[in-house]
Amino acid sequence: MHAIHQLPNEILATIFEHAVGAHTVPDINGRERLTAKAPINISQTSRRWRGLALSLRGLWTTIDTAVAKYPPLTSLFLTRSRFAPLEINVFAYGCSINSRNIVRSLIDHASRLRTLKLRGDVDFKRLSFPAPRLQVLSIHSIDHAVSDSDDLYPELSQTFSLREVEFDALYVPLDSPIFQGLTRLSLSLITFRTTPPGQIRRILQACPLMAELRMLNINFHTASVENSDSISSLPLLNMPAMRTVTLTLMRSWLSCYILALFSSPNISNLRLSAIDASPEIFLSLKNVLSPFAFRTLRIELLSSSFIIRGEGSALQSLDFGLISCTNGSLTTARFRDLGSNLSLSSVEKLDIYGLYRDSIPISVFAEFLARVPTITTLAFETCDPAFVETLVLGSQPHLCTQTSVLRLTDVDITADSLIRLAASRAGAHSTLMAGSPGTKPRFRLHLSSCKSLNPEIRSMLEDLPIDVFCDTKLGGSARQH
Amino acid sequence: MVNLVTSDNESFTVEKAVASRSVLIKNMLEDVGESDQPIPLPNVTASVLKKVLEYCDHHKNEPMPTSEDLAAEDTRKRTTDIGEWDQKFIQVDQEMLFEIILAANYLDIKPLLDVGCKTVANMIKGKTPEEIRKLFNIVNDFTPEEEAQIKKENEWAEDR
Repeated sequence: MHAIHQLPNEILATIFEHAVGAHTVPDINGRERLTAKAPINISQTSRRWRGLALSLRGLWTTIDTAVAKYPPLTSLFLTRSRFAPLEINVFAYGCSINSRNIVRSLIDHASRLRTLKLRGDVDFKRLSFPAPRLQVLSIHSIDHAVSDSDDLYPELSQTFSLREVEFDALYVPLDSPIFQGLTRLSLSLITFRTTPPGQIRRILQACPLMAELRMLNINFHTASVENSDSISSLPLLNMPAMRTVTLTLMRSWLSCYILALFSSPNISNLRLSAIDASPEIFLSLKNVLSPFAFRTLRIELLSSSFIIRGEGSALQSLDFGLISCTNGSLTTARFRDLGSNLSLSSVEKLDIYGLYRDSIPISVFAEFLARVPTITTLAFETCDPAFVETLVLGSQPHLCTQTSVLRLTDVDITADSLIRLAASRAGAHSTLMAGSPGTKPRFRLHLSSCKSLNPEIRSMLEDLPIDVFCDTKLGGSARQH
Repeated sequence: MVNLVTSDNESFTVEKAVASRSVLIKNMLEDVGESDQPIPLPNVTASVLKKVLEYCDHHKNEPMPTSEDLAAEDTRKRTTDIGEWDQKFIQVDQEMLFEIILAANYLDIKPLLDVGCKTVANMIKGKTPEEIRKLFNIVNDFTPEEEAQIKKENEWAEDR
């Protein structure tokens, strides 16, 4: 007899629960269909397995896209799950699912909905029922953007348990009781023409334990701003649980307005991107971030954006972008603002991506780098080699003298410069370390996708008293950029 | 050190920290106090215990799951993610796999039981009933009435 027959029912039940547990993960390759059928397949294996599977209502509580495709199968799951809380997660884009039918079939079971995630063409008006057990509500409509002039929105009631709300291109009045007691709120692609932004303050006040606030492409019209209360006369809200704030593709004034509504000592992840380059945002950043010190800083200069990511002991991740910084002089000004507004005195690791002379003059970058003397790891990726050559090979006192690790990825530095760089750093590093007590690691040079690196150059590098690591084939450039 | 004796009468002397990954043994040690008496494990053979102790030794420095952890796991959606070391550890033949699961259940080593159950769950996932039967040598013992009901279910779930 096979050993599986020796397993007691409680272990077999645990195996079944694990086997169906992952079937809420959507898979564009069609695999979700197979896993979604796991409860069905298990229940059709043998009499013992069927009896056990039908007694486990938890196996049948998740209705996802693969189940929702077949209305009779949906009914089967709804029946077999009996009174257990339901998890609904349906993506109805471009497939044969009718979200309207799904919503219709759920209405009778609304009282046991725990998670409701719908994507696609949803009959929003029908989503108007009491949902006392609902904890997570996420709706992405097929619209590109909506406004508060829309009168078709869900009116869920008795949402006492609701903790997470995500509306993408779906307008719900901000004074709805849905926005109470939340720990996570995400709104995107909504324009508020008449709603005042003061409603955001009201929501924060009604959700004192909010841990994550996310807004993407949210607009308030000027007229509504003029009607809004002056926040300066209102007390700052204390939001001790807030850890993640994401305000992207927003106007600077709105991001500043939201950041000025509350204080939170525990923000560990802040992501901002503005569609305009107002200096106001730097001032508000200064207010929010000045107490924190970063240990890791990543700067990305892309063709149309400027992103800074910082990590520190208190603020673990700062992600800040100005989307409209296409103009070199504007970017330069922002770079100067960055250095003067953020505390950089403890940065140990600096990652630079996409640095070219048309975006930032080398002198401005050098000025910035001089304010960060504590760097031990320096990484350049897809950068103009002139930055590397000037800053690291320069005859003047080296910037970043404490650097013990240098990573170059996709930097077309010449072979000659590479050797001189390594030699100068090896010398500087060994001199620096000679007076240090204990054994210090040797200078480490990591090279990836550097065209000039051939076997001969590599051999020369390996003769130096440094450690060299090459991630790609010699002499080849693995990336196109 | 703790002396464990298997059903096939083989002795294993192991560190207390390793043996105590088993809640059963940990409780026995607490009940008995300091003693040189061997602990009999009548439901576990030497080959299986050797494997179980390998797991316990690797995880001996990790915190034991608390009752709150276990309660929280019950309310969370289960997943079949298995750590890298555990994946390699559990790459054994089916007989040993089920022996390990039974031993983990008897010895009350919840994390090991989880690894075993997840491994079997991963074997089941994506398989048809016929494939599952073949994999585990399970006989199709449905009555004609049950077969008819199953056929009906399959018609509903057919791809269209």
